[in-house]
Amino acid sequence: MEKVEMVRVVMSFLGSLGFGMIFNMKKRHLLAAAAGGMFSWILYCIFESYTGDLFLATLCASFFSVLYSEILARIRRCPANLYVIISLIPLFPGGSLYYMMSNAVQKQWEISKVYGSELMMYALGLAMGICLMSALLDLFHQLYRRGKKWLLHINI
Amino acid sequence: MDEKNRIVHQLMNVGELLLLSGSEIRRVEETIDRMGRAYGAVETDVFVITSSIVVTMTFSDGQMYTQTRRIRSSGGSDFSKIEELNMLSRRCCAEPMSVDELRKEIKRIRKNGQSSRYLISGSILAAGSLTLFFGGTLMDGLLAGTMAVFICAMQKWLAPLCQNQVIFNLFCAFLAGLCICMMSGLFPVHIDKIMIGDIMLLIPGVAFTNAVRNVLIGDTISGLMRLVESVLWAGAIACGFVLSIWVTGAW
Repeated sequence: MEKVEMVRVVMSFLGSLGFGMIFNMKKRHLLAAAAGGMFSWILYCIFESYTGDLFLATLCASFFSVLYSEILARIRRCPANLYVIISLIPLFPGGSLYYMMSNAVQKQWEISKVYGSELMMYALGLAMGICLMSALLDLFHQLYRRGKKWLLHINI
Repeated sequence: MDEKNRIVHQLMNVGELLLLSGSEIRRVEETIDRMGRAYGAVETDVFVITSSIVVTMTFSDGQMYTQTRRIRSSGGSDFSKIEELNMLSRRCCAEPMSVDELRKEIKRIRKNGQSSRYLISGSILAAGSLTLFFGGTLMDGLLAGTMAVFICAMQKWLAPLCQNQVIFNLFCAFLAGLCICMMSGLFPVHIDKIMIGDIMLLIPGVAFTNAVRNVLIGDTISGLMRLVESVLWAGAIACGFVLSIWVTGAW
């Protein structure tokens, strides 16, 4: 892997770690959550090289990242939301936001529009990835509970 | 005060603390609901939005208690508190503790302030690494880290003075941007990368993610409220930074 990509992967880990500290996460969760951040960035890179589409890549990356966070949270008996937020940090479109506004101020409307649509795609991809995975997990949770009840029922 | 009333009051405290620590709405409602049932409530009606908690509990003896709590501050993010409150609620549901004990536990959790060193080192790490993540050089990263300390200081001292979170973000971003531009005059750095790194510190990540989850689960009111809030915040931050570039560029 190129050096630049290596640096970005390491920085995604450190960035998520930093945010874990800002949000005052307990120390025993920090490394796992930061690993989630690195994991979601790696996924994003892989998906982007396959599809070339920003929206799909963000969608898939956030989809699997939420899955990872929820599984980890169950294992470690911690509210899932905490892990989810930290894992999604590298996918947040800080760059697009900044470049959109800075080009808008310099009256470079065309470039600003490009960054603006990039921002929308990132945000929508993130939102939809979170939504889809949360909906799926909720569904499985309900099915699991019904399944358990049904099994108990037929055993008696 | 009546025993049951005190219990409901403590449950409101739990709910408020959860909201102020950045929990999602569903978790607050479920926690109050479960703890209420553990303490003997037969019917619970809990309604939570980001600025208000309304609870009505009916106990087995037929008595009904309603309390409301107004949440004024936008709330920060303190994941330790959420986790500890979660553990407290699990304990209470397994074996309900006395009201006084509950009150003491809640007080203890609330007092567990965040260590400043942890917060500041986290901010420096986050800002620095995200600057490098977005393509800055090592020098950019170091400068972003220094600015992170400045932003933290402003969050501690300026935030209580600003009535509105949006205005605070605007000021904070503007002042931070001014400092960055001034420093760029002294050091050979890329202003845009440093700004992006520091923008990520102020971006309402928690609010946005929670808002999306809230809308999905069906708490559309709270979700939309938070979503609009986060969009406004993001806009204010971007405006603040860009305004500072414009001001220093116009000299």
